[in-house]
Amino acid sequence: MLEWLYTILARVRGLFTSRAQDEELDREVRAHVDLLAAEFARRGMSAAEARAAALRQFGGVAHLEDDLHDRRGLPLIETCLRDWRYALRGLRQSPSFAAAATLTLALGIGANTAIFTLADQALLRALPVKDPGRLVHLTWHGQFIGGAMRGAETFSYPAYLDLRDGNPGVFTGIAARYQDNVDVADHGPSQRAFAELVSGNYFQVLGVTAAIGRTLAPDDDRTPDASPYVVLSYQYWRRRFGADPSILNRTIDLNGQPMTVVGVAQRGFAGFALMSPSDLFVPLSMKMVVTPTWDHRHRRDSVWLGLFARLRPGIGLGAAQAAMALPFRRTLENDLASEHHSADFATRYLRDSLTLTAAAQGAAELQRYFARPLYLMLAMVGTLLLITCVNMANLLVSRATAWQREIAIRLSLGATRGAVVRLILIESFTLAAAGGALGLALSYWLSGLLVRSLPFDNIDVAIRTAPDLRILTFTAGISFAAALLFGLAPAFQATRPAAPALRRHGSGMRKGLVAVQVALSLLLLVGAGLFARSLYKLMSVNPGIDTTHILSFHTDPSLHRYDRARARQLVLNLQKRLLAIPGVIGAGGSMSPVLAGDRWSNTVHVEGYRPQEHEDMTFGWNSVTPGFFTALGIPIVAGRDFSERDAGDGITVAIVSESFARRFAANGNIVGLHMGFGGGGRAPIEIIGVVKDLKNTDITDKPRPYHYTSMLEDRTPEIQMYVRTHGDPLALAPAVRRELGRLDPALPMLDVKTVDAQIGETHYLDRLFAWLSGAFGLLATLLASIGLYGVTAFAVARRTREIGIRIALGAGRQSVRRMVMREVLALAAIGAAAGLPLALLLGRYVESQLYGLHARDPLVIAAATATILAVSALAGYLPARRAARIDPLRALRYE
Amino acid sequence: MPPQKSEILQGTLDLMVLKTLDAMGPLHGYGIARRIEQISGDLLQLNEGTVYASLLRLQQRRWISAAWGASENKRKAKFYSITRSGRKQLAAEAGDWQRMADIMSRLLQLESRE
Repeated sequence: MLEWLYTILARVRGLFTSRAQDEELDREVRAHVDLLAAEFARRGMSAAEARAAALRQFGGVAHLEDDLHDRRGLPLIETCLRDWRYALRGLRQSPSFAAAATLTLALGIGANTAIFTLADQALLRALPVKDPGRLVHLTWHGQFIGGAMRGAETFSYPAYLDLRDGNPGVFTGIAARYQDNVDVADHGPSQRAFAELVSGNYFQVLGVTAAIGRTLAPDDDRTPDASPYVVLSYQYWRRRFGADPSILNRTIDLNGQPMTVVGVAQRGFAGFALMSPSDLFVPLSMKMVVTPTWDHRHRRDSVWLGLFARLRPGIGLGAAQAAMALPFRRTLENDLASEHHSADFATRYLRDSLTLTAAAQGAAELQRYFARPLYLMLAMVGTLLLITCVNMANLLVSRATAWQREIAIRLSLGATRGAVVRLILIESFTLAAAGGALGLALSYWLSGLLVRSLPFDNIDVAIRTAPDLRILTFTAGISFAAALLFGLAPAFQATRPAAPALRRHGSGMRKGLVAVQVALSLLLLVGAGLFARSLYKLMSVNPGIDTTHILSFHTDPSLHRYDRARARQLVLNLQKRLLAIPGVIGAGGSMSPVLAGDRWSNTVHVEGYRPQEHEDMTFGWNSVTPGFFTALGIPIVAGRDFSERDAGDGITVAIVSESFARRFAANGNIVGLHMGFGGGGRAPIEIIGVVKDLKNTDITDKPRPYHYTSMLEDRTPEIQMYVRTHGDPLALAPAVRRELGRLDPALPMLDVKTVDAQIGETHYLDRLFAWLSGAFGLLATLLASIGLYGVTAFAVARRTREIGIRIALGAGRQSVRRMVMREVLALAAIGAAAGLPLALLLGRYVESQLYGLHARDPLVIAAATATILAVSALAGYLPARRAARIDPLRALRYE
Repeated sequence: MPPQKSEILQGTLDLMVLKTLDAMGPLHGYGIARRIEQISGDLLQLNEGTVYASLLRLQQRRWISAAWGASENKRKAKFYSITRSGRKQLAAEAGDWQRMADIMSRLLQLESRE
């Protein structure tokens, strides 16, 4: 048994030493024959006779040496190596073909791998925790008692406690989390970091262990402000502290408060939200360290926590959701009991529901945002890959035709069909390997580029751009499939015995391939046109305010030990100073940035208005400073703006939008009426003014009821400041920075940009799509035109004789040109005709991404078709011209 | 009629080479060929080159090993010697042949009774 293994090993070794061994054997054999000859000579033969007899007795020397040579090594490998060297030589002689083929493949594979890497990270990764399939997300649907932070995904702290304690055993635990920015100092200047406030059972529910030290435990969350402990994430520990193990039990400053590092979480884990990784984990009991300006742990009307839970083994999602209905209802009842609400509101409130969704991928805000578009991008890239495959096939079929002479010679010399096919196949594999390697490098670059241009914080950390093993195999798989596809078919074709028939056949196949290319290019062009037009329509929407003359920036006094009074003073002083800068015609701030996609809302009730059965009384909300509306250029149509004098204990005044006024007051006379948050009962807030409707969240907003409260009466966490001018707003930036510095040099001025730029960021995906699809469309068209050019040139070359005859018989150059062009356009038309119904059919899937137009937009389709036909005409023009220039004498003389 | 240059199965040639090396000690290719010629008494006439095919196979299976040395006429020659596993293989194959010979002789005796 072992002998077989030894033989293989010996043969592998023999591959490398073959030449030396050949020589050795030769010497041995020669010596042997010499000895034999000497023996015969001794017996009386002449020298020549002796030699002849010796050779006869020995047997065929050359045959023996060849045979042993083959047995000593692995002849198949040697042959392939030889073929490979030949193929390389051949490729070197046709550099343009080699370059075209390699680049085409590299592009297709590179783009594919890059997008696949991105898609994989954004869509397919599961949380690096124990058994992520058993995790669920808790979501609240319906009205809120008070203010909402992030819409349907958040709960109040008391509600969390209710649910946690009322858990009827369907979960092993329910955990809560909240993320926010913090400043971290370690005996030096502080740096911004992202912290996650977590409940005591967070790590247990997720099943995450510590790399060093320990994770947080329920004991850490028992008494408020009594557990100054933090756990670092592994990548933060590596990035900021150099993976220094002495970090354990070291005290660091978090927003100025000392906290002890008790551990580092396991490698690869950075929180429940995959796409916004946390740097450190802080127990919820220490909330005031992370958010010094607001402590809503006792308030039922403030929702801010995200909840998730782990299903007990054996319990399904549906069963758990049904079981949670009762504890949830009790929570609702507790909420209602905490404050007086109208009976109407109570009825509506009790209809709120809790749903559970599978959360193997963690909190999926960004992932949901990305999901559909990414699938679309994958589809686009897949189509492009198909086109490149077709192009490759085309290139290789024509190459096979060029090979014909070589093949014929080899076949006539006795080469087997397999040997010839192997030769061609090796060439294709070489191209595929080169293309694949280049593609891999391209994918690194491309995915790095894409990720870096995404406008989200920390995304660089969340998405690693190094392609992993799966993607590597994916790329390699495509390379080899490509090689097999392109190499095999033409190779088999080319070795078919009937040579003249081959030529015609090859041409037919090539024409078919080009028509397919044209069809696919049309598809991508239509896509490109749709996204471009959609983007154009989007960007031309009137944002409602003068976005090009407003500078925005944001700062965060809450992280710099500003209490409420001091923050209030800061805001007022800042506004005064900013207004004093020459050229500034308005300055003001808000808590939530405008046109950035944020949706803050409150449930309200208005004096004198009785909501109907199922009426949703939750409306958009922002907290703003006096002067905000002037800064944005929004006219106050009734009443007045906020002022310094509105300084009640709690919220006492509000301003509403026109839509709000129209909805809740007769004739829109709402100034002087009162409103309140939550579901009825007291309405302590006086409405002091009405402003024109503003597109608060997105430029595609329709006018809707909106309300504003005064930041001076509220906490001041981050402020988004707006400064309006007549000229270039960015030119004001240095002056603004100076004024802010004069007030407090420690306050940073972050995210300085115009509101226009902000809109661009908010619509990053639309821009990305338009750009990507444009690039794909262009590339596809280019490839298709190359294909068309190639086919036409080939056809002209093949028909040189025929065309020469025609010209000799009197056909004008013009008519020859027309003939060629007609054929090209006919081919393109066939391709387009095939592509159009496909485009119309697939348009359905893109419709959701478009703004302001249908997927069957006639303008776009007409433009795309016209483009492809024009490009085809261009591609065919050169060969047509060459055809017209054919010298009939030369054509007829040569073959 | 003495057997012409009959075709001998490669396997049996291998066995002969092994036995030769076992009995005679290290030999070069020519020496092995001569020895086999001697033993078989010129009844076996094979192309001497096939010995080298055998030697390659035996080497690959590590039943023999090779080393360069000086031959009788002071020329460099490659000497082959049997290895321990070669000896084991030899013993096993010899046993097989013996068994085969016994069975064949018994079979042939049977027929001749008729």
